[in-house]
Amino acid sequence: MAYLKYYGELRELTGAEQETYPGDDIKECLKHIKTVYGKEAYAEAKRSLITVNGKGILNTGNYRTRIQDQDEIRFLPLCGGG
Amino acid sequence: MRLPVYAKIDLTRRKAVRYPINQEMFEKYIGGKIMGSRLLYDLTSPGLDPLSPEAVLIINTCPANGTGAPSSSRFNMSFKNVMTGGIATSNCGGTFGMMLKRAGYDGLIITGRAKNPCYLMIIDGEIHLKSAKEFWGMEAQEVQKQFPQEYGKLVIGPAGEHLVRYACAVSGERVAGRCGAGAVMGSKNLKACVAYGTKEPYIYDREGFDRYVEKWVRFLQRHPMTGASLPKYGSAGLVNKANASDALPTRNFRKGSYEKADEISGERLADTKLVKNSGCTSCPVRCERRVKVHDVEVKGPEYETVGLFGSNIENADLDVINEVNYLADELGMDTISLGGTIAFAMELKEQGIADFGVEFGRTDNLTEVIRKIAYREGIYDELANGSKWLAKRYGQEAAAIHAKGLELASYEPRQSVGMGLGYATSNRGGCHLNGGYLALFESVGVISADPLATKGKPELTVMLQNTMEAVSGAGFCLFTAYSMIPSFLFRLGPSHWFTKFCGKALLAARGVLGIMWKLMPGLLPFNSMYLLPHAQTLKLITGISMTTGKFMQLGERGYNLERMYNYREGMTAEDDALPERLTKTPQDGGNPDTVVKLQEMLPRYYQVRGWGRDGYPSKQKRRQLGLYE
Repeated sequence: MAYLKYYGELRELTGAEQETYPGDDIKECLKHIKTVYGKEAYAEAKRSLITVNGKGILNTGNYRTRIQDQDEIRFLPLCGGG
Repeated sequence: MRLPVYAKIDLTRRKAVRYPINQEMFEKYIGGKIMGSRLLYDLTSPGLDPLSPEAVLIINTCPANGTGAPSSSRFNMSFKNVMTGGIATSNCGGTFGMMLKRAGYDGLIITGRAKNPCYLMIIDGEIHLKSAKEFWGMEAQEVQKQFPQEYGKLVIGPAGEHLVRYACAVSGERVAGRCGAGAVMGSKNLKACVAYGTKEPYIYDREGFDRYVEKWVRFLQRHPMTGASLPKYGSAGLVNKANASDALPTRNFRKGSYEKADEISGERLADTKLVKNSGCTSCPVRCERRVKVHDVEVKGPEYETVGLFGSNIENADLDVINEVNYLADELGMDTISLGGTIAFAMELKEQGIADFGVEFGRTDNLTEVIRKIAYREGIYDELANGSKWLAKRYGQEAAAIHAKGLELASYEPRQSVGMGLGYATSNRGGCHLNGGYLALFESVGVISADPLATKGKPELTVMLQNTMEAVSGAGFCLFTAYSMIPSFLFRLGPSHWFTKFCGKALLAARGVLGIMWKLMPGLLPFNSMYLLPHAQTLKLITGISMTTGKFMQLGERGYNLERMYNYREGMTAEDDALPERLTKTPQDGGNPDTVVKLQEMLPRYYQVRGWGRDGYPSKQKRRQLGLYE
């Protein structure tokens, strides 16, 4: 089981801070979110900064990034700074 | 058109005279840091000690200050950089600038050294020099409480009094942080500047301005960054993003990610420590955090402080970060240089070279150490000089993380190489903002251009450096420039194919970006809310004919002038450098490309800038910008 952790607006849309899920890749996790929480949560999750064990998915296969047991997947809001 | 009125104040002779700014100078340099650089260049000779009586301190405003334009409370301090020996400009969101304008002055040019601790009081056009004997020794908030709440104040704490080289100046709870502004004031025995007045700010087209500002505020409030993310998480929200991109400095920039990053993240801060958000005067963004330290509500930390007192010293305790942030402000020290210096001291202990009682991961004595630095007590006198000084004394230059003598901000550049180029070329030293903040398009923004690519980075760096110079020089918070990034990209998110395509397109556009500065200001002869609304706002405030192209060229002019000042002080292209840890030691041991390949980027950077191979603005470029020195 991997851990899905929700932040920001996604937390409000899912009503959860985290949950476990046995998916194989990020795409499956997103499908799960859509099925359980609806389209709005799915859209919010898709546009989040998605990390697996702290690393962004852009360079690891994007939505096809594989996940394994005990992996921590975070859906973070985009933030600004300077 | 109303021309700026400055006051030239000689603290030695206790005299003040009006210093006229003529129309040509006003139209060319506007105000703030750009006018500050001009005045500094004209009024000083090279080779001065930054802390000598002959050194000049300029505290000035911009036409937008006090008008109610979005995020326009920012004022500037220009002086010879205590940390680098080159130019220094330091920006602050406190209310002193606005009140100085209401008191009848757009700027102060301060020279000399008072015989005894003093403060300047500027009330409705009158300037008084008063004794600060009873205030000397007070911390920043305590001294400000000595004056009526409605007065604008700019003060130093004990660190400035003790000439800590990275001492800052404080206005309200905002800080002119970098380069040693507080030390310069301290060297002049100037404890505070206080201003109050009732003069209304000048606005050329009041009706047009009101309509435009109303639209701009709505635009900022609708934008996902300025209207949602920054108010909710502040800049501390960057921690997880930087960590995910290996751009979070960890263990004195030895690594780019921290296993406990989540514990010091903006999300964690919002969940567990945030009392509310707040902001500078006239700012609709409200990015400031309010937290509690010892049960007292105070200003919370920005991303830089979180990184440099969090991951970079391997501290995962937000309470420690909040307390250190508050203490540094009270004592009057730049948290970036302080954090970077302490991290270097930790490494010196780890290497068995010098023991300042600080270690990675240890925080129980941190506040005590910081106090001792502020007062230059015992061995901590050495830490008050910064990491470049320490490296000269103890060696380990490769691990002293500074550029030109100013400690780097909280973006590890080995997997964000354009940021590295920015740090190296920044005129005031290792600054992420004066350096152009290319991390926005490499590692921490919604768009991710290949962070390791060197092609395209010089062009982007120049564009951002010049644009940010203009925004800052005009008196606006840099966060107002976020709205240049289209909202829809945030709705798509960083993983969407179109956003990823934008990252590639930015690098591919290097040909166009490379020649755009030759075509300014004619290239952009219009104003647009979606590009840089600052230009139109300035036009409405001043009556000056201002276009986006002229506005961006204003920034380019300021950047070139800063460069010329640095060269006059003896800096050369060799100073566009980074420590060897960042240029020779791969961040990822398995990938030799995870270094900042400066030598691949610098020649193209100079070419795009219109500078010679020696890194100095060519005659043609200077002529184009009207810099005839």
